[in-house]
Amino acid sequence: MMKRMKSALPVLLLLLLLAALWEAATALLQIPHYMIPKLSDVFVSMWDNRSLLVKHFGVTLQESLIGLCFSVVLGTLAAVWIESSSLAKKTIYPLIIASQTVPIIALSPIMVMWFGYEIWSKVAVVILFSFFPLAVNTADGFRTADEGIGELMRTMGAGRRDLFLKWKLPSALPGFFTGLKMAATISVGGATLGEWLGGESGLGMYTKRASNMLRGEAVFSGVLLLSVMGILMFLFASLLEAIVLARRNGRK
Amino acid sequence: MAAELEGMNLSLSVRGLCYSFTKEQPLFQDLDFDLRQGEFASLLAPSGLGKTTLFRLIAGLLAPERGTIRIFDNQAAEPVNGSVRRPGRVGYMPQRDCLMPWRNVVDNAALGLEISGIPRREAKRVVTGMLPEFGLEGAADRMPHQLSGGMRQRVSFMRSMLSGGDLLLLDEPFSALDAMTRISMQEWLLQIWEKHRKTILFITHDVDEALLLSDRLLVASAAPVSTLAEVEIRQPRPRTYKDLMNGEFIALKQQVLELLHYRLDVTERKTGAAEEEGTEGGAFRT
Repeated sequence: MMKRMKSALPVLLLLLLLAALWEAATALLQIPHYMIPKLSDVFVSMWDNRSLLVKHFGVTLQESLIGLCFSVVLGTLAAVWIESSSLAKKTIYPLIIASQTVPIIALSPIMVMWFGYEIWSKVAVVILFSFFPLAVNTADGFRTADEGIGELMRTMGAGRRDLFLKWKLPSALPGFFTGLKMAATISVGGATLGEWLGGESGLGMYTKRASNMLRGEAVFSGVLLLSVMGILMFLFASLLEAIVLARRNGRK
Repeated sequence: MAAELEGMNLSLSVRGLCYSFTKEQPLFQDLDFDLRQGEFASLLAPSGLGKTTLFRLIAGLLAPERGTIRIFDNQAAEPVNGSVRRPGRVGYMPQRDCLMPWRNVVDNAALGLEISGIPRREAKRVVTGMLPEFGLEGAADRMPHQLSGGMRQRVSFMRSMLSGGDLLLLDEPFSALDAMTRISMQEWLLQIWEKHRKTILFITHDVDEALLLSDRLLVASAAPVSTLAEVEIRQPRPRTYKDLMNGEFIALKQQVLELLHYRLDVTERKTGAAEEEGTEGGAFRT
């Protein structure tokens, strides 16, 4: 634990330095507060609106987490499907890859059309964003499983079930967690976008409304909190990964 | 050769084996050979002659195009047809150790038992009891990345021993080890083999290694392989590397090298022929 704190020290120092630069530059260069507010003003605004921000933070976090859970289930199922059927490998997998050329942002209003202004349209946008990294990384995990182990198991008389449970599944876990870390971070962005398109609460809506009123310090406090949320989601996914894969890597 | 071994207890019998990856270049053509119950045989061949393919055929990972591969069980000596053979009767030790990085030593070694349907706890108990014999005492909970190359091979070997069959196929198991570890692993392998007396078919590139370990060498020299030249090694056991210096071993080694060199001559002759064709072609052009 001490070791990890020590390794985090340089980046914390850098953050402090950047914060000091921000504060100094905005004061010295007299940048208008609606362009870049003073960092201290951002924190003051955060504190003044703390109860409101906590509520909005909770709303956005909930949307991200629900969407992420759906993506975990759907992405894993898609990966298993791709892995278990050579037809799906030839059809679904390239389709999922190609689907990334469709701008997700452009699809998002459709979600609002389908699911309305309640939480489910935001969840749907989150799924649009986070499904891909989970499905593809998990599928790649399955695909890159060590063939040597599979062959060895076949000489031992292993059937499909044994091969999947004892070989493919454990082999795909690192890929799954790579996908989860990407999806966790990106899901906050999805929820924010969902709120911009139509919503009454959440940090995305809060920043948009504040920006309409040129309240720079409120916009920045929302952005900072969204970043914190993204970082927390990422750290949580990393922690899960470290726990599950601890034995095989041995370094964490 | 088949006649010679007739009446003995066989462990493996290969008859008329044909296999090829491409139509133009068959690997095996009407190959016959046998392994006796409990013998240590080494397969020596230049690379590219399909040693590993032969193992994959015997292990049931590939189906022969023609011919039969019969494996006889020690207990019930009933032959099993090559084409419909139920897998799980040979212990296959691949060239790479292929340990599962997510399993510790015991769980890795217990893989074969688990697949054959023995409950996990029981399988673990069996493996744990055998760890000292395999030089893995106290390593039960270690993960593969915490093991040395030699120890990984011990786990891999133990796993193939426990896969059920009386026939073990070892595919260059020590080729990736440093010279010192290799020697100690060879001695260790002989100890285990003398105790359990399983039939071993051992692939190697190393003539010394083959001479030290085997009762019999099977030497393939030219593609497609249709016969395996046999060299019996009747020197008393236990043998050490020192014995390899004595006259009888040196004579055997020369014999084996000649068998292997046979192919070199053929290739030389072939390239010579190609060159001649080349000059003829050149002459034609002018």
